Amino acid sequence: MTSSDHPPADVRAAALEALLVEKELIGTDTLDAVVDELEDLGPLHGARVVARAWVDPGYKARLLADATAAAAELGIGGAEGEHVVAVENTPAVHNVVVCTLCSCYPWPLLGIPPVWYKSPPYRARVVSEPRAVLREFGLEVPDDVEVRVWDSSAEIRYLVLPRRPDGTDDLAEVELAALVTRDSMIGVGLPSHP
Amino acid sequence: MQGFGPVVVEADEPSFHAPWEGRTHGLAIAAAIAVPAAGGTIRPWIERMGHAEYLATSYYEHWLSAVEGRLIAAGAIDRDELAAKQASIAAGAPVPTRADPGTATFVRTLFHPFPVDDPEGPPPRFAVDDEVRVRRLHPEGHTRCPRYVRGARGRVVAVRPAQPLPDLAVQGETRVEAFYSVAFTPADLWGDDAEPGAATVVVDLWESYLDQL
Repeated sequence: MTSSDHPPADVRAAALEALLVEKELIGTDTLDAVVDELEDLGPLHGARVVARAWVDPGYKARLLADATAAAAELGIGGAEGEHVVAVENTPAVHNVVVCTLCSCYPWPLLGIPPVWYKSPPYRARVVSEPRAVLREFGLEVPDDVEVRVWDSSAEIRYLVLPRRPDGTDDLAEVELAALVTRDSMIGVGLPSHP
Repeated sequence: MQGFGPVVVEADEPSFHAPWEGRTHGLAIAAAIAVPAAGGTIRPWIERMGHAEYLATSYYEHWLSAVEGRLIAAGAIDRDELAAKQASIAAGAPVPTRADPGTATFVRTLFHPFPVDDPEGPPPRFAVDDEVRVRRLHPEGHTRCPRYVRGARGRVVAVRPAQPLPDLAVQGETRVEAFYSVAFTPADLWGDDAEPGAATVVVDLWESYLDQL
């Protein structure tokens, strides 16, 4: 079967919705609710967690011990975030996350994964040539810094805790959160500089 | 697989590129509630797509194929009535609305913290720093053992809470197993073709995927 055997995707989705509604298997308001909730998700949630960890050593310790519980302290959590593990970048280790088998991703913290994260090139290449992939994202990792690639194909979802940028000692937590990019929490980027 | 080109990044990517993508996400969740299935309702069904179609279609097209395929296999809809509905939608028929407030309220709870109880499992056979080798498995069905680690030696770096083995869960059988994060060096995985520079790949694996070295 090829994609040309199917009608366009918008027709397929609408037809499936209509059929399931007519069979009284689903409500259209359920789909409305899902879309509404998903539009509210995004990397801002993860950024709040990271910024809190940067300013509060006790929170950082709890985050590294149990990231699901630490995120819930900030009201963040849900499906695809039941088993979150935070991995900390250090001068010696740079972490990066992938799901080689599909596209597992910590939705409650980062939102819907970007298309490149779900694409075969990223999934295949970041485990075999991580430095080459990171270079495409503009990130050069010295050869003596360990690139640690986490393949989240099973039950655990990983969140990279990036290093706090230099020169940010005077910034408030909310200003720090604005520096935390989605890519820095996947590990293909670094936080912005103020 | 190899031979893919560069990773293509879209600037300022929206959550959904078109409304049908969001509807498809909602359909997947609503269908999983209306017609439950053991061991997952999306991924095992995406894996039944033809490889060529999988590579040629988008993420949410994968989801559409998974939901359609699973509901047809479960007998909740049939292929002919789906095709007929696609024809009427293509000809301009509207999608009817239907309220199901109980489910609409419930699905919102999935996007906020909820309690998770890890199942009781048997004691783990391996400990942190144990050397293991991934079994050379070639299952026909669903598995979470990525092909690139099969046969490779690795080192346990974390013992995680036990989880049901997905390979059996999709067949409706629950077997809770010890579950580990296992680290591999580039040489473990790629031999002489490994990229230079310090690196580790960590993969989460169930105990039955592993042998003691």
